[in-house]
Amino acid sequence: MFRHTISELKEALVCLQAGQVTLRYPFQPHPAEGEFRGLPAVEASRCIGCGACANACPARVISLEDIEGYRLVKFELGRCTYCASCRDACPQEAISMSPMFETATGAAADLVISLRLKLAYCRVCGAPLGTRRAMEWVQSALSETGEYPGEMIKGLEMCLPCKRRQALTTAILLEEVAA
Amino acid sequence: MNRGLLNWCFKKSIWVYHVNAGSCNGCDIEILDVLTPYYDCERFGIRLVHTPRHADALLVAGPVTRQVRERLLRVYEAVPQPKLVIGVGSCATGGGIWFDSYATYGGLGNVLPVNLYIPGCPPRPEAILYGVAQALGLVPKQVAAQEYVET
Amino acid sequence: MPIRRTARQIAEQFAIQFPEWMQLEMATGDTIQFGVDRKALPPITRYLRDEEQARFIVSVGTDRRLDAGYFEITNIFGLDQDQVFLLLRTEVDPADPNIPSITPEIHGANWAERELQDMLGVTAVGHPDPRRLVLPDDWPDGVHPLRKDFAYNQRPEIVPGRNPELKSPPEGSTLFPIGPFYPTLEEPVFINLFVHGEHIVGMDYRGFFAHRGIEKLGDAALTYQQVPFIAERICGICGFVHSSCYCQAAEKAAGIEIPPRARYIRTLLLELERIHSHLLWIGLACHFIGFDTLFMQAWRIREPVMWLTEYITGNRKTYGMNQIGGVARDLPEDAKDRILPVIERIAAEVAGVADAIVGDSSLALRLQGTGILSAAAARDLCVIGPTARGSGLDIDARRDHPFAAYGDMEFEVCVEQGGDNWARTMVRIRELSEAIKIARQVLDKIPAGPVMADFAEIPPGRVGVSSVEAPRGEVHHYVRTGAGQRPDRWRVRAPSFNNLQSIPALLQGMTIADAPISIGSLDPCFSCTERLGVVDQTTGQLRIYKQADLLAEFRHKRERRTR
Repeated sequence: MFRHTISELKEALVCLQAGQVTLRYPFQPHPAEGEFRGLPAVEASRCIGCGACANACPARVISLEDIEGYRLVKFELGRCTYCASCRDACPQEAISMSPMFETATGAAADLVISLRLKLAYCRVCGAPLGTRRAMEWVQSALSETGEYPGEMIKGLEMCLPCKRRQALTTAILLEEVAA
Repeated sequence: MNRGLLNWCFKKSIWVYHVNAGSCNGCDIEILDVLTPYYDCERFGIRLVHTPRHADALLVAGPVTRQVRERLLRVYEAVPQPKLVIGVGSCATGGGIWFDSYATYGGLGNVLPVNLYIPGCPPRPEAILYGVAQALGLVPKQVAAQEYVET
Repeated sequence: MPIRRTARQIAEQFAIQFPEWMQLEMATGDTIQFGVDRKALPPITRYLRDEEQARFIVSVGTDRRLDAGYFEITNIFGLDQDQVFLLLRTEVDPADPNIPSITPEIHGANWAERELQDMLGVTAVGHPDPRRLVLPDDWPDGVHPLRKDFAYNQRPEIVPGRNPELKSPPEGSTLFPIGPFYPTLEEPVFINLFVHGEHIVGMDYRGFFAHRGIEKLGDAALTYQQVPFIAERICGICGFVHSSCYCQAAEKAAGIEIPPRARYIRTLLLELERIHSHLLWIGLACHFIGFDTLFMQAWRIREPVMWLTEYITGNRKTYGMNQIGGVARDLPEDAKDRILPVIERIAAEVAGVADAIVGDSSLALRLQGTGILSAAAARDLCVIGPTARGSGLDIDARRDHPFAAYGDMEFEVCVEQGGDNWARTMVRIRELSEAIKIARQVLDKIPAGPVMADFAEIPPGRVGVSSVEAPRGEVHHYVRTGAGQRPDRWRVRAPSFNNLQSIPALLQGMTIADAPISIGSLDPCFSCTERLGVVDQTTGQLRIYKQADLLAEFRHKRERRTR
């Protein structure tokens, strides 16, 4: 019995020594430190609509759809698992994990980010090629190397069947000239 | 008894019944963490009750698995009006990483009428406190849909 | 001290013992795989049980009709003395999908075989209890999700009006149901206790309310590097264990050697997880018995670990650190300066708490002599972790099947002999100190260097298995690599899968008031009773026990004992 009382006193001492530890949140902010992964943020001006993030996301939160002249890149962040695979996959560093965690809402639609990026079309037949930004990015990267003639870089703005047709036409013409 | 007085009472001290609808326990542990000394939700009169009949709000975590759905509905019906349903975590908000699996219903919104979602995987205890405060109208919502159209 | 045999030596021994029935297929490192005729499974299991003291780990059922024309059942055993995993691979004709059950020989295989029946549709003939285990009650018969012709997002029609098949109570006893929801947290689970008065004479169980279709998603919807993210959400408390185990199994299958620094980082995070999990359990166990003071203090002591992991990895839980080939990010520069003060403080505070409670007779009354699991029962049911070590079984995957950097660490495997709730509590408290010791060693010895290995494409058709010691026991993953840089089969076996099968043995002869803490002492991923309905056998009246009632019962019990 005595031993039990000593034990209870020691337990009380543990509590007293701990004291009051309660944080003053939400009256004072308590942000996370370090490389905390909060709600993903997208820098829309950098996105080229390549879809690398959509391929990487384990929760399959990101989708791409081409409609009405735009590529719709949609992030349904309600079920995001904050793993940052999208951030790591993005070649343009357009995605970052913001420190935001106070994300409660009555409607999951509040957690959707939609980007509409203009599509590029084939110069010859008008078929969609992907986003204009992706095209321009590839073209500027190639012309910076200085190894490709401007004609060839411009020639990227054709869909594959049209490219083949043009190459074949050019080849036939060259043969005729040589002959 | 007028509506205003009821609403005022509701805000003062909300009693919460926690339900695990097939979650991994991450959100459940964070919900329990909100009771513990560093966060202490009892400062706000919020306490966890042991039966839905005493509850003002349901805190549900998990994507709602097929096996749990019927029991979850029974718990919902057992909570007396007025009641709030709060979905905690990414699984409740949209089904999480298994939203399209054969074994889940893809999120709480597909099973119950939800008043508030607290996303996170798992949400920090601070986020849960913020969410409950938001449900009571004490703090503002901070997220909104973002749309960007290239010009 | 028995001499450790190599994989080759063991393989040769079996080949001599069972020449017509066992074909050696692989003997590399710590994994031996034999092709086994299905009718040989019972005699081989008996031999493994009696002559080798093998421990049954899990069964894996794979649908290989598309690439090979059969169902493949692999039974995995652990030969802990030799640090080897033994895989017995059986081919089953799809036209005759059954195997002889090995459960009568080794009771720990009970649930694994029932899962084969549910998920793959291969019947274990002679199984003593072939009821549905994993799939929901409203799932139609004959639809097996792990078959390759079942799409992972297919949702068959609900079969209405089906209830779980439950055993009837034995003659003269009353039954009362518990669950599936309890106020004391954790997962839904349904337990039927059969009682005579206050004493429990049997029980039945219906779990798997959290079945989310993880294995199917792993092999049907995700790539190799996406699976660690789903793996760490199998359990929110020991998520890193699962992602590490998957990565290790896949790395073994693919023959990838990860850099030493990555191995140390994994070890560090595993031990930090163990620290927070054991403190969590101590708090919850006290909460179950009404000792809320210690619940609050244990979780107060634990909270700084959560802030620490948030700082180091970017999230309190679900760290997102593991990838095949190593870890995705390095530790921050000042990790050691942040970690050491926190774990030293925890070590001091845990010592203070342990000193305070050692003389607490209320705790002793609740925990000593209750929930007894004998060593023989523990071995037969193949339990692991603190559940096994509390009953005198000296097994620990960190020592028996070394992984990550544990081969370089010095630590003690904490074993107690009592087999009761108190023994399991002491195992966990001692393991807390050992975990802190290991974390200190990691921080001292961690080498510099890269944290991620370079590797080419992973070839298909390779098998790898790995064990990791989670706070609850051994977690075991099996990976079979597939085409298209995705796994063909991924099998997860969490420790609670084996440990929960020991609940009937644990509760036999106990009183109702001891049921919650006994089940809780397994540290299952489900909690236990809070609200019980009891039918009094003599008067036929229903009495509902609330938590206050259970606590009052306990106080009366204590007063009767101390008077």
